[in-house]
Formats: sequence, C-alpha cells, structure tokens
Amino acid sequence: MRDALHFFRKDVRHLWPGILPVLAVTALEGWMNATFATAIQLPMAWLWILSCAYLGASAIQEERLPGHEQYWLTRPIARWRLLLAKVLFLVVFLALPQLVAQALALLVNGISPLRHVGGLLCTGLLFSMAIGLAVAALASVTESLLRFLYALLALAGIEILGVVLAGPGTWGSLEWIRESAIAAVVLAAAVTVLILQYARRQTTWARGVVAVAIALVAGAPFADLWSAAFTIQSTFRYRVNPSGLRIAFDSMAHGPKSYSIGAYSPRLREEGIAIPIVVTGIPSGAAVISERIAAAIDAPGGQSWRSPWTETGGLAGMNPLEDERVIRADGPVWQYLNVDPAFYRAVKDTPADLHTSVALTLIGAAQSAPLAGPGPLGGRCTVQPGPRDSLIVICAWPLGSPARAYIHAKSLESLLRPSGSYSPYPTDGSLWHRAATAFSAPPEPLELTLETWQAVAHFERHLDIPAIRLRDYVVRRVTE
Amino acid sequence: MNCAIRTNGLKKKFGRTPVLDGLDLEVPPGSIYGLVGTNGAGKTTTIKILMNIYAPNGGRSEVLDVDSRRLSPAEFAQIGYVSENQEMPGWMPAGYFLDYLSHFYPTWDRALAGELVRQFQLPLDRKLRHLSHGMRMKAALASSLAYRPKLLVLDEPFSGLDALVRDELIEGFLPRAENTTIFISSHDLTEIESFASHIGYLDRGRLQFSEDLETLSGRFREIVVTFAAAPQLPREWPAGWVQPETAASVVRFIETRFDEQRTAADVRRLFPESREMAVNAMPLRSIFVTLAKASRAAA
Repeated sequence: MRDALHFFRKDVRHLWPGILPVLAVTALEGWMNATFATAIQLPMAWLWILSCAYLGASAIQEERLPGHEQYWLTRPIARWRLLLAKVLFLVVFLALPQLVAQALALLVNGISPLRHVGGLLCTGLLFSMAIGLAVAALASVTESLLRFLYALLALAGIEILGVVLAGPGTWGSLEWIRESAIAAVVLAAAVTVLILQYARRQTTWARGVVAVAIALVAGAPFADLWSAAFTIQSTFRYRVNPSGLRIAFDSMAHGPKSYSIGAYSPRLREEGIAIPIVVTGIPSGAAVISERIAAAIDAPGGQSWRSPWTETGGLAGMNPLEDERVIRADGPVWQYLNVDPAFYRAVKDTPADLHTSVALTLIGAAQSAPLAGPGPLGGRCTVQPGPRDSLIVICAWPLGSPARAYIHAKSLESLLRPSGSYSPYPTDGSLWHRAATAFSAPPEPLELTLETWQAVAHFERHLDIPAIRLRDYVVRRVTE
Repeated sequence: MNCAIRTNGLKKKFGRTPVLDGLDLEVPPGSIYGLVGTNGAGKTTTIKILMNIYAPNGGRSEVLDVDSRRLSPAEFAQIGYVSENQEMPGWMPAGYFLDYLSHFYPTWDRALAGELVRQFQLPLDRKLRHLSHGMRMKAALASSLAYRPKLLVLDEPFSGLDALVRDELIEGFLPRAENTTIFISSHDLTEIESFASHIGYLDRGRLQFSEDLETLSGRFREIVVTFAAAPQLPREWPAGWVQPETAASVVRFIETRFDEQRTAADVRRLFPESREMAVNAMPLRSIFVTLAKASRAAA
C-alpha cells in the first residue's frame, strides 16, 4: 500500500489540472441534481463522462503499458501495486465525488441518503467505477493519450453505427437487463484487460479482448433476446402469485370496428386482427400491463405464419380513455395482433388455428399522495402552467422509478410514467428518474394527486383458438 | 554468482525477421563487458530481453542468476538500466525524479545521489523534458547509480553525445564499477575500448567472439613475411591465419592465435624460403575489422 500511495501522490501532483475540472463538473452536476435544474443536464452528464475518461486515461498513461522504452519498466515497481494506485485514483477522483454529490443532492431535498445506500452505491460508486475501469482498460492498451482519444472516437462511432443500423428499438421496461448484460461484458472485459496488462503486459491479447467486447456491445442492439430477458424478469420473486389469472376466447363477442390504440395499429403492410377475450382472476388491488405478443397461425394446406415477440399488439382495455395497455379489472378485453397481408389474404376466409402468447406484468402496491408534498417512493413533483391552459406535471424519483405513475385531478387521469424500469437496482448514473405529463386543466382549482404502481409479477399466458375465421376479426387502421 | 549475465541459445524474431539466432553469452561478475556490433546486430534486442522488456522466442537468459522472464522488483532493485531512447517522465523536475525513485530502492544512498548530482551538475529544479539529451542521460545514470546496483546495463549510452559529455558520463560510472558489473553496448568500439575489460562482438544475432581484452589483444598479430623473390602461397594454410595478402616479395596475414614460438615455427615450416618475419601488434579497431570480415566471409 505504501508504494500505491507513493504512485497516487505522484499522479495527483502531475494530474491536478485534470482533476479540478472533473471535481468542478461533479459539483455542478450535484447542484443541478439538488435543484432539479435540467436545462443542460445531458450535456453536463456527457461532459462528466468525457472529463472522467480523460482523467482516467491520463492516470493510466502515466505509466504506459504498451511499448518498450518506458523508464519504469526496469525499476523495482510491482505492477499490481501500480494497478492498485490507479484504482485508488479512480475511486478517489471519479467515484467518491460522484457519490458525495448525489448524497448531498438527496439531503438537500430532504431525503436521507441512508435510505438509499444501495442505490447510491450503484449510481455513485459502481457506475463511476464501471466507466473508470472501462476507460482504464482502453488506456492500458493504447500507446498514448492521443491514440486513446482516437480509440474512444472510433469506439463511439462503432456503437452509434450499431444503434443506427439496428434501429431505435428498446426493450422498454426490460432495457435494464440489456444494460446490465452490456455492463457485465464491459466490466468483465475491462477487468480481464487490466489483469492481462498489469500482470503480464500481454498487449496483443488484451487488445483482442477489447475487440471482442466492442463487437459484443456493438452487436447488442441487433440481438433479439427480448423473450429471454422476459424469462429472466419472470424469475424474480414478487409478492403476488399470478397463477389464478386466466385469459379465454370470447366466441360470442364480435370484433371491434377500428383501433382504439394507436400503438397497436398495424403498419401499412400489415393487417390488424382483434380477438375478443375475457380476462379473469386479476388479484385484488392489482392491474395487468400487456408487454408484448407473439402469434402463430396454422391454416389448412400447410400454410402457416409466425410473428416474433412484438410491441405492436397485445391486450387492450375497452375504454379508450383509460391507460390503454393496462387492464384493471376482470372482464372483456381485446387481443390485437398484426398479420402479414399476403398470408391474411390467402387464409382470411378459411378456418385457421390461432396460437398467441402474451407477456404480462402484474402491477400492484399502489400508493397515492397529494402532489404538494413528498410523493410515494420519495418522488418530487412540480406543476407548471403549459400552453392553452394546460398543466405540465414533472415528477422525479431518486435512484429508481415506479412501473407506472398517474396524475389524478378529480376524475381526470393522466399517465405520467408509461414504462418505468422493472430493474431491482439503478442501471445508469442518474440520481433522479424523471417523467412528465401535460393535460388540460379545468378552470377551477384542482387538487392533484400522484399515484404510483410497482411491478409485482411477470408471466406469460397462452391462448389457442381453433378454426377461427380471421376475416371476422379484422379491423381498420387508425389512419383509415 | 558465476555470471552476472548468461544466455543460452537465445532467439528472437520480429515477424519473420530473425534478430537473435542462438545467442550464447556470459558476462563475468565484476567485469566491464562491452557488447559491440553494427547497427541492427541485435545488441538492443539482447538487452531488452535481459531486462524482461521483450520475451525471447527461444533459449534462455539469466540476470544475476534469475531467469530474465522472472525478474521481480527485488532483482530490479539491484539493476541499473540506462538506454539512449529511454522515455523519462518529462514533467518531473530532475530533483523530484531522483526523490521519487529513491522510494523504491532500499539501498538508495542519498549522499551518493547528491555527489552524482554535483558531479553531473544536474539542475534539480529543471523539468526532465527541458534538459538536453546529455543532461537527461546524466539524470538517468545518476538515478541508476545512487542505489549502488550490482549490475549496470547501458544501452548505447553515448549515442548522440559529444566527447565531453561522454567523458563525464564515463567518469560518473567508472569509479563506481568496483562492486558493479557493467554491461554496455555500443556500435562504436572506440567509445568503450578504453575502459572495457571484456568485449563481445555481435553480428547478425550471433556472438562472433567474447573475450577479455588482454587475451584478445594478445592473440592477434599482423605477420609480415619477406622473401627474396615473389613467393607462392602454400597449399596448406592454417585456419588461424586470415586475410592473406601477397605483394611483390612479401606475404602479409593476420594470426588470430598468436603464440610466439608456435607461429614462428609454422612460418618456417610453410615458408622455408622466407628471409625475414615481422610480428606487429594490432590496435583493437583493426582486430575488430579483421573479425568482422572473417565472420562475414564465413557467412
């Protein structure tokens, strides 16, 4: 440790011009978190990441690992002590200030940091260290600070290209699983690279590990593993057992004439089908969110069609004025699915077997409180006048958010948070998780309340409907 | 410790280019061993393998009786290494550099460090990047001598230095060589012939010879044999006689295994018509030229 402190003091002596901006940006971010100043929050977050990347890389490059001319290579310096010093540097100047700034921001808002120790450690310490270690790993395989910056730029370009090519699709509330997987890959690669470099200076191998990690992360947007992610999510133990919940085909009902839900509307090259079904067994005090649907249709003559798990479809309530994806009580609902038009035309008049699977989330543990004070889960809300006599409500929750949140004003209901993360821990570095909604307010003064729901179970339900004639259930597009 | 440095069959390739081709080398403890060779002969590669900066592709090397692949901080605390291309922490003032490094050496002698600073006239408050090349080499040397290393490895330390600075550097380490083995590489024999006790000649990755200077100087002689008429070279020609030349009534060659009586007897036997034989001592430079030519011819 004596050696590590010796390196640390030397690094501080040399790198203080880089340390000060990081501390300043961290302090400014802390102030913005404390005061909910959101105007330049995103640029500040990027500035923090970039300044951290520069500082972290500078610390590693003090004793550059690739190369054969460095003076320290032939000095009695144990490389693991050097690594210890660098990790200490990252903890002291990247992670700890972030942790302290976030804790202070909570304290300023009347929230005890002790109530959120786990979340603070995730966002303040782990998130910062993950970035720090990734930066350290990249810096440990590059020959100069300039090359590190080039590598960083190239890496950013590859990631952006991956996202652009794969499209903007996200896993919604399950995105935390993909983020966690990416973080695990990055962390595992970073630790492997640092061990390879500091134990053996195996730069070629270490660069290989970096390349594999980059390929995996860049390929992540292309991986259609939503179903696997939902299976993982389903294994989490929750307080409510959903086994009593059933869905059944309502053969006596007729199909709707048009779509009530824009999000489920078929694209131009799809035909929309809406099947009337009945949901029973929703536990008291709970509601059901429809996540995605997968369908298969087998028609006579060996004709068949299958869809992957898709967001454009699923269960929907009958009342178009309510939160469309949430079913709050037992009763009739629609099951929407969008079918390939050629297949539809070929089989629309033929009795076909329809098999559907819907991924559902049970939400419960609802809490509500007036907007004026601290809300459920430590949420803080502000109300601002919006255009044309509307009200804009902005709420923020520390280190996590509810699965669903609504603003109520008498009989009015506005969905505030449509897709809160189901993550059991924070997966990004944000202190506050924000959501906003706007609605037309009646002229009289209103008492606004915030209602939050938590995810309490995730499960699938399957429905087999034999010999159904699709033509009887086809619906027009919203645009028609 | 039998050898300060020992290599057996050391091999190194860069891509497909072999640089060291089975190098066998022994450096006696307490010697000042000069490794000489042309540019590209493999001197720096050898040293970098010895210092565990490069991994060899074959063979084995030991430094202070430790496999060079396993040199640990404990061994490096007894080794000084100075190279012409060494990257120094340019932001450090020379004084801080010495102070910073002193932490890692249990045997660091502050008095000796101060003495070296005075002798080299090092400006302690000047950043290393602002020092001249010569001054930087002095700083590197001072930082490698202050802990009284058992082995001092110098890779082309005089390259690019003027004669005055070179002499100052030599005056810096030579008086401290009593208990230190010095291994120094150079492409220029004249830089080291004045103080080296042993010389090795490296050519295309192989050690052509390795001897102490006294023996080397003693076994090389230029022999000039004079005849009454133009002589005929004998069919039988001893292997140790190289670079034969004939001109008018004279045969000239270099005896590489000189022994006064044996060489004279051989000359009388092979040149019975000879009238006179002259034996001339050779300067070290000529010996090297002879050896270099011989090894090139053999290759």
